[in-house]
Amino acid sequence: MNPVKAFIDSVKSMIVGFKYLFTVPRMTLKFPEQKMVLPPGYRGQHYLEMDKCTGCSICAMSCPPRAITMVKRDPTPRNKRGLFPLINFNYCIYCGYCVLFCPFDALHELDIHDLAVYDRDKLIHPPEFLQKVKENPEILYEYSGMNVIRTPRWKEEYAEPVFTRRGVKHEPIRK
Amino acid sequence: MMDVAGLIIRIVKYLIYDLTHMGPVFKAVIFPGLAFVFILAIVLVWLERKMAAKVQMRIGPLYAGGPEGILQPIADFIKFAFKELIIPDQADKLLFIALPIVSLVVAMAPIAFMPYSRYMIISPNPYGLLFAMAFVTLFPLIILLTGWASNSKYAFIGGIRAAYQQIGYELPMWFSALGVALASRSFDFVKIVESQQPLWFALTQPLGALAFFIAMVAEMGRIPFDIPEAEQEIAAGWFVEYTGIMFGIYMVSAMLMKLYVLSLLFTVMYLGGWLPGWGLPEAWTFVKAFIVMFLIMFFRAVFPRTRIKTFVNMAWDKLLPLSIINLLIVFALTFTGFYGGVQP
Amino acid sequence: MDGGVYFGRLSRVVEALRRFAGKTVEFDPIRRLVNWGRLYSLWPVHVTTSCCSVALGAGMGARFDYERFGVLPFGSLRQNDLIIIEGTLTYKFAKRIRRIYDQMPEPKYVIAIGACALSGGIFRDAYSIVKDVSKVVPVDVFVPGCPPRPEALGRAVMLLQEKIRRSKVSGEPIETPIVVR
Ligand code: SF4
Ligand code: SF4
Ligand code: SF4
Repeated sequence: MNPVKAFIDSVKSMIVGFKYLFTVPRMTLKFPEQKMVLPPGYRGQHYLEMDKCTGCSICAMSCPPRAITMVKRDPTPRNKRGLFPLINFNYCIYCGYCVLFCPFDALHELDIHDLAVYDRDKLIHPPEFLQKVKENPEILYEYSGMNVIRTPRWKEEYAEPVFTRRGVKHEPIRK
Repeated sequence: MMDVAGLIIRIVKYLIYDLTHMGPVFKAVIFPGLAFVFILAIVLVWLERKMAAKVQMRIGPLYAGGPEGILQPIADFIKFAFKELIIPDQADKLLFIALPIVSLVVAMAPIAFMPYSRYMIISPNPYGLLFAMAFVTLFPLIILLTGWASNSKYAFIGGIRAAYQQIGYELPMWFSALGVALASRSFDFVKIVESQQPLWFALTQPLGALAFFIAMVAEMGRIPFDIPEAEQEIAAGWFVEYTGIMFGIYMVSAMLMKLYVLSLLFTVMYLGGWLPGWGLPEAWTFVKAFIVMFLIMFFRAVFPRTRIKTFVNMAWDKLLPLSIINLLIVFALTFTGFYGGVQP
Repeated sequence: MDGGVYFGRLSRVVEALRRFAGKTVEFDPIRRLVNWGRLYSLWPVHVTTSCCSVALGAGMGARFDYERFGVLPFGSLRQNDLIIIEGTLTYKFAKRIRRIYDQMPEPKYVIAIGACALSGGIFRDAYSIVKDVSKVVPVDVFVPGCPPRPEALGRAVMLLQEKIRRSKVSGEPIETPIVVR
């Protein structure tokens, strides 16, 4: 290889590096303080509306890793057998089939997607809890023991999408 | 008993005098010596990580404490200090334990001969260049020994690679240094700097400066030539078996002290040290050395690693002729009186 | 820290010194300092078991940069203190993971991410999958998802930091009431 050309190439790469060092802005999302804008329909944690559920078990049948177990609770007029879904998030792959196939729109998904636990039993959500999640999604954090974290949970500060910032462009794929 | 008390009082008095008048103790312990070097080391580790992060559009260490996470290196060091020490069964135990300390001593020894200004030298020595270069040359031997003492495959490969690499860069480095010594007709750092009065040696001997710079980066084991510790190829190379505080010491000696010492050496030899000497001469030396360090740390963010064969070939094919040509040019120029002073 | 430090005949003296040092170190200011050092310097091993590693890649990349917490992926095992098990663990690889875990020096932590690591996930019927990673190595924090988002990985790192903050220098947890906010 031509040493002069190699030298010029390395100087060029240094110049690119300096350009990034001094002019291009950082694109990091300061995660615990900022929240990322997620696309609509993001598949996160589930909640259940128990008064709509009929116990038809289609969600349990459609779940690929069999994360849903039907458990017995007090029968209601709509749900005569008293069967409700219990979701074990140890198995759940967040595919959204249960929500998609539920014929009575009883299961739904939130965009909460940042659970982490010390104790795996906290990931088993019985139907009553799934019902509570609907009223107050924040209860997920308390239930899974994440309120030991000292950093602020959200500041209501949304990060801009990457491509609107100066210097960082998403180029379309050329054909 | 009175004698002892009197002695202690005299020692304390001397220390106070020394520290207030920049005597040898002040130099060894505070300014060009230990305290300064360790504070600089913390700043350098932080700066390196922060700079690499910035080039990759990240933030880098932030939450550890201090402005912009400057306490991150201290956190790392504390973690290493309180980690378990594992000494492999098959290792040579005495060597294994002793080598980190030896490496720290060898890596820091050249600081004693490095001038920050005409008077700011810990140990003024007419053969300073020879001593400093000798200690610098000694370090790959320690790497080789480390690889051998840990008795592990990757460590040994790393050590062998260090030795193999040294075969490549050592000669160009010494030939370039010889050019400097010939042009200033001395091995004394102070004289070397003084003889760069009108023009730096980097301008009058550009070929030698280039060869020395490349050889120097290889000697530091910094990224275009970090062949002995190639993370992706041989785990972490020669220090792969070291845990806890022993690795902490290696991190300081091999990665920071060598960077500092060699950048200072390059500044003094080629960038005119404290010239032009007005104002605070120490500040001139420091700023120049810091720019060199910054540049070398910046390589980490932009360059990939060379293969070992490529590097050794380049060293023998390009660097060695370059430094020899440089030496011949300097030799010819001394007869014309270009470098000033008496003719040889 | 009950790993072996071997200094030949000196080992008894060293043992006594260690016992003394072990007591001294638990005083609160020193404990806090050491824990501060540990929790802001978690270096994970480069070991990738399966497809959940994209979460790790995204987490260490420019968008979510967990180097802010001091998480720096590092090449060799002897200097690291965190294993992130990323998804499916086969029986064949479980032996390697155990070996990696045993080779690391003592305060060491494990984060298991992904449904596969927690329970087998979508592969729960496969013959070659370890259904429960905590049978192979003791796991500190579990993260559900397939793959989890990088935010969840960040939560896991924060939970782990909190766990370290509430433990002794020797590694045992201190019982402190969990503050509910
Ligand atoms: S999202 Fe998919 S895996 Fe999870 S419970 Fe629903 S069907 Fe099962
Ligand atoms: S949640 Fe929907 S699909 Fe599942 S049992 Fe109830 S009604 Fe049927
Ligand atoms: S949980 Fe999903 S993404 Fe993770 S390893 Fe298993 S299949 Fe892959």
